[in-house]
Amino acid sequence: MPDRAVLIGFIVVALAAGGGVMAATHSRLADQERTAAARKSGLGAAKTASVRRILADVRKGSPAGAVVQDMVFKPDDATLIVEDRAHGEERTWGLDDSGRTTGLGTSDATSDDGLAFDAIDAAGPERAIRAVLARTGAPLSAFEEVSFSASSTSPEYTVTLQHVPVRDREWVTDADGGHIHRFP
Amino acid sequence: MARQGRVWLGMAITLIGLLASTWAMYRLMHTGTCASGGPYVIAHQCPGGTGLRILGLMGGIALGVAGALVAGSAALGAVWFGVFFTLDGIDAMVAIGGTGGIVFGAFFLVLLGLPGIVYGLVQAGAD
Repeated sequence: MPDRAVLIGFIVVALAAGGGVMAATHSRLADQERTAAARKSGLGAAKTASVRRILADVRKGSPAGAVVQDMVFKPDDATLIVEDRAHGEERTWGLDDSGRTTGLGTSDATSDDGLAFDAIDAAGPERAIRAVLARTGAPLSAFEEVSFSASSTSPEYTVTLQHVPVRDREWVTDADGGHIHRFP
Repeated sequence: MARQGRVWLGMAITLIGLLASTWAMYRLMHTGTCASGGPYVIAHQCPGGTGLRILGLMGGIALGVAGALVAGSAALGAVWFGVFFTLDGIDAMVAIGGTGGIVFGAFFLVLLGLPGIVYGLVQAGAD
């Protein structure tokens, strides 16, 4: 049985060590939050480098032959729907709080439309956004989301802006950022 | 001598358990409410590693109790209880923050942490 003096020493050591663990954890989380805030600034997940990384992560977690049906990129989030044609199943992917790509759930697919990962140009979303911003003269902060649906007859992006006149809110561009026109 | 060795080993195990539970509780409190999986739309996805943190908390508690059993000391068990809730109370104050975090943390600290520590010391004196 430890005597009282030993237990007091134990309490002091435990509280000091616990405080050290808390300080280290607090500091690490603060660093992660600063990194996340920097990642979400400007185009965030729609930046070419981010899109490339997200597509690579999703491809790695998808079965061979899977196709991308829908993609939505926002400054602080991304959603991709990928179909496994062999099983008629589609899986939704997104980003968790720390910005890591994560699988969110599966359901039965309703169509076989989709593009192979190799057929997707990771620079497409950013090119489309910059083309729309240049056309409208809106600032980078006006960017709300860019979406892509493989059910379109040809690959095209829909860019949505915020805090701009209603008629300037939604734009459609080709995959190369050309042929910009208001939605629809 | 062997008895003394078991006491020190038990205290070391309890200390490791306290550090594991403090780390895990800080991360879980910082995350707040979250969910993952299932067919419904989730407002706040659990960050990666949440399952590991829950296991860390449970493992830390198990180690804390196991340490007291190895030492064969009810006083160490009571001190573990008190230090566990003291550290969790401070965790809540820092990780949650604001009035809610401070009230929540103070509840742990004053009603569970300090009484546990005092009881353990009294118990040690009685032995």
